[in-house]
Amino acid sequence: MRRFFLVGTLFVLFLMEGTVFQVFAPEQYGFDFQLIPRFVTVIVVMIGMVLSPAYGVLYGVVFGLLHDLIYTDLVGVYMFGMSVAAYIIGYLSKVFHLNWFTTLILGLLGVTLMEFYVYELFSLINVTDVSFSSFFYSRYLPSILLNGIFLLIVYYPVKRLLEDLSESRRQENQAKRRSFL
Amino acid sequence: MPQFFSNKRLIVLLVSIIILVALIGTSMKERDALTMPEQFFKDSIGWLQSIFYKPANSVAGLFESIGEMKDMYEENELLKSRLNEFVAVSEELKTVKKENEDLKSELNIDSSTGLSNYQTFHANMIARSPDRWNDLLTIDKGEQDGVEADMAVATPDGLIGKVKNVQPFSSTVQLVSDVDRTNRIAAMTQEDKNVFGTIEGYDTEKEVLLFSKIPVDTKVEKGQTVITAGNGGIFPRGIVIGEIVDIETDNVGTTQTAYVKPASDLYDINNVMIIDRGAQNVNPDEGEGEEE
Repeated sequence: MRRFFLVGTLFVLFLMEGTVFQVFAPEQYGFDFQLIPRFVTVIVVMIGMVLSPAYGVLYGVVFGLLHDLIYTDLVGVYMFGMSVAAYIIGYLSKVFHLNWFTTLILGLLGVTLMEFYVYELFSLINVTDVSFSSFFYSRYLPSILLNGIFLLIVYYPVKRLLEDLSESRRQENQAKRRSFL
Repeated sequence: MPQFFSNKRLIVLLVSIIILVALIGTSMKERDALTMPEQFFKDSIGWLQSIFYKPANSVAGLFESIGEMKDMYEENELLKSRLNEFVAVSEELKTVKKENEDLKSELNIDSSTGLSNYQTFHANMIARSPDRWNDLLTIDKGEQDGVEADMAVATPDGLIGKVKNVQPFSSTVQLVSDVDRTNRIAAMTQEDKNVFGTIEGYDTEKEVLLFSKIPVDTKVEKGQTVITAGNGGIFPRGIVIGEIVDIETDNVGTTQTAYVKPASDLYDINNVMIIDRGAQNVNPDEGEGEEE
């Protein structure tokens, strides 16, 4: 049940990135900077941290592929980026004690990894010709601020949901082991 | 902490990088149509997106109209003064049109096969790529409504792009600002002499289109309007693209490039027109008929 709730939330966020958020995007009102919502990535990275890196990779592959199919015409870019970010951050998080601050830093690190990877890849294959400084100042910094605020807002509910999930999974495993013995 | 990269994981990583390159390679190729699963996903998610987009858009529209209320009075005065002008111009247009038709019929020119003959139909935008690397829109009309790939897409202000992919119930529009080597439009200016060139890309930092391949001996000026030329085969003649803001001579010195500011706001898009150049389909059919 909780798992469906998690998938449903991610899917709704995925749809919001392309629709609701585009209506309120700053370019529409004449601003120079870009706010790129990476809400799905933030939550996928949190899954990698709280549940396990393997689950992060699973969710990253599914939602990355969805992003590739719907919003770009290159298949595989976000699928790879999201899952690798979730995997790396999932392993890094084992070094730290997770509280809201370390989660914020690591989550933003995950978004950073993906943004830089996508930028470098798209410059390589000529999908974009934006210079690095303009990418960094008018796109990366405002976006990281937006995604950081998003992470802080959803931190407690998402963390509780994920911890419940991992708890119920542990109990299931124990029950299985007991019945096996 | 478990070992970060065991041998098995390293192999998985390498294999997935190979798969990534292969996937990008195959999807970068020029494709006529999307595969069935892609079409299915795009269509069904497009339907869900429209559920989200429409209410959000109407809320935003409400705020916008409150903001516009302030300027309403001044705008009204201005428009009233322009209205008199409009009556005179429309009378002139009527007589000129009549004259044109008479002259054409004297010369036996069939008006339905002209470069500038087209039909439009309307569509609503339902989503836009959230990452600004790809400037793609999704609109709510598809193959069932008569949309075909490569049709021109415009707002009332001017051209915004072309249809890239068509699904049964929705389609994807590639904006003129998308950096893509295949994104080219035959264009012209039309002051006292027609000047032809090609729109060959978009400068993301200046937010202008590059109107290049203009012969160096022809004169183009700032403020001239650039329209589609219609000899590229796909777009009809006469859709406004934008206004020239700057001109530069190329390195070699044989051609010049003009920077064109798009006439329509590429971010504030709601309703779009899809332009169907019906005339193109008429000729080949007639030709085949004669051969038989």
